[in-house]
Amino acid sequence: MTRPSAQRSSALLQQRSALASFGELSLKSEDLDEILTEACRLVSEALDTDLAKVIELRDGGNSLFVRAGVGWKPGVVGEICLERDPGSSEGRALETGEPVISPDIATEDRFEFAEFLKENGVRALVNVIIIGGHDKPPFGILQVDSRQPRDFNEDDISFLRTYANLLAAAVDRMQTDSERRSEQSRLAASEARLRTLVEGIPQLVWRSAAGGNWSWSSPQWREFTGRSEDQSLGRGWLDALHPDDREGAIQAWNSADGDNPLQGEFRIRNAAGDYHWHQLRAAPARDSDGTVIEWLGTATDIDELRRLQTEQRMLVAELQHRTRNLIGVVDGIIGQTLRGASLSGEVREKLQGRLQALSRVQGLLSQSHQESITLERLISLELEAMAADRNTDRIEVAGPHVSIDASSVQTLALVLHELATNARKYGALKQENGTLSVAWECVDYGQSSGLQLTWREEGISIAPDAPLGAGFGFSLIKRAIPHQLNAKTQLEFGDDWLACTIVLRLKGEQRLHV
Amino acid sequence: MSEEPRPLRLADKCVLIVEDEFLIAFDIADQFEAAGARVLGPFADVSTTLQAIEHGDVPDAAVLDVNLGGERSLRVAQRLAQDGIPFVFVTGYDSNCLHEERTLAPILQKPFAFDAAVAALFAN
Repeated sequence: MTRPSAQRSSALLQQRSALASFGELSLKSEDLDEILTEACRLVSEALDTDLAKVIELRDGGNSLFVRAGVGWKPGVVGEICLERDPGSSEGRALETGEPVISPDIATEDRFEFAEFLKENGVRALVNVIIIGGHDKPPFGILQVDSRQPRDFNEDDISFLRTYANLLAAAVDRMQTDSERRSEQSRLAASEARLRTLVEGIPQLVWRSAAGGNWSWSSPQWREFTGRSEDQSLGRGWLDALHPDDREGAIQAWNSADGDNPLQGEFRIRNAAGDYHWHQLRAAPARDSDGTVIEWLGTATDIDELRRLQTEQRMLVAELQHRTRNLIGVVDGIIGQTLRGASLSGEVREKLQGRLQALSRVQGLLSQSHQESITLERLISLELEAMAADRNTDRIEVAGPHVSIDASSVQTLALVLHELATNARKYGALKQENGTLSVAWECVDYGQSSGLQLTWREEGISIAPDAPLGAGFGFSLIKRAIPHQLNAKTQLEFGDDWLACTIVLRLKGEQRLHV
Repeated sequence: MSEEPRPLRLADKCVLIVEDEFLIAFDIADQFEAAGARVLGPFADVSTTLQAIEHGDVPDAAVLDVNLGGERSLRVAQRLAQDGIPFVFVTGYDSNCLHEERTLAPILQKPFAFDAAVAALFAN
């Protein structure tokens, strides 16, 4: 009994020595293939077999790849890749998680064996799982192969389990390290890209804590303002703003929060001392909980844009002034020409009124690129032109917000002008007890939507010579807008009332929006 | 109905007219005179107008152009407001552009209705 015991001690010693050697190596090496190959060498020595290999699970665990090994003929290590087969000894080991031993594959009837095993003279083998770390699936299998039939004993299996666990720990460390390294290099590359972008864009970029306390300013900011990083940190950047704009900038910061990004237009002094209008914008950056941790902001030079906008506004205002002045001169010429002629007063008044309506439309159209022309606006303008006091309860103007297409504005304005003029001269705007109601609503107009406008005067006495029954105004209402705007119109008179109803089709962009 | 408002409804009124455009200025003057008013002016610039107010008699109302050959009529307007004289602006500019003017008096767009000016000036 001493011999087997001595043999056993020697084997155990060899195994322990293999564990120690492998432990040392696994701490030193950064190369997974080197570690796996060395692991195979040490384990085959320790168990006194010629062959060992590490099979890696790939393709989501469906393939078995011979990743490393010792003692094999060429064409095995790094090349053989088998499908996972539940009928193989490897498949069984993976399924149960337990070591699987085949003492002699010649007499084995539980498993199928891969062809390359037989080609390499394998007679006995043992499979031990290399578990995965951090809840990952197994890395693979440590397989020790013998060219002689062999009954791997409990000591062998116990050693192999320990050895495989040590191997699993080494693999896990390597994988984690490698993931971390690739994540780090990915982050570094991403940061470099971002930095290039941030420092390359023409905007002045900065970072800030809440309340406008800057923590960083970009090279662009420092170059434009000629201020150092230190001079701009905290609220130092405010000194680069025009003194009149600083209070506004502080207020903009005070009203900015997670729901309201910072935005405002301020003048920033450049290194030469000139002020340039900039648009400041900042968006909050949040942590994973959604808490605002800082603000990332830009200042965009909009000086040229603002200058051009101001110039354009002035040009449009000047153009409008000249157009209206010209219409005023035409009006003056008419007045002077008609001077002394019979009926001059009445003719003059009508001509003038219509010229005025045209002049007002010019005013509206010159602004239509800035704001849409609403029906309410059109009516108000005509009533104001008649110096009608909108604050009395005798005049009521009510209806939803509806914008009028620019091509319809002129004709509609002239119609409203005729109605208002009539009211001023004969109707509700002249007579003390007269009331005027101008109301509109959305109605159906065939397949599309329409607008029904009702102009109604009550409490008036209708003069027999009231001109709406004939002439230019009548013609506009009964013929011009049906012709030009495809409108349906109705003009009705009672003893003490007058009503004009116009139903217009709304074009696409004229939809009611409340 | 047979009411004929025109003749002399502004009798005894003195109206200051400040407008640099000749055809418009004299047309306005004609209309006020036709209604029986006495016209002070028309004047075409700020300083002549202010001198007339200093030395002449006090108008009951005034019609004031905004842009007098490139010069703004605001100083005249402020003087009139200070003296409590009702007046209207007449202009080709949109009232949205005239921030100071609109706080001082009604703004009538050119061409303006004589009746509207009269209504604004002599409402009470």
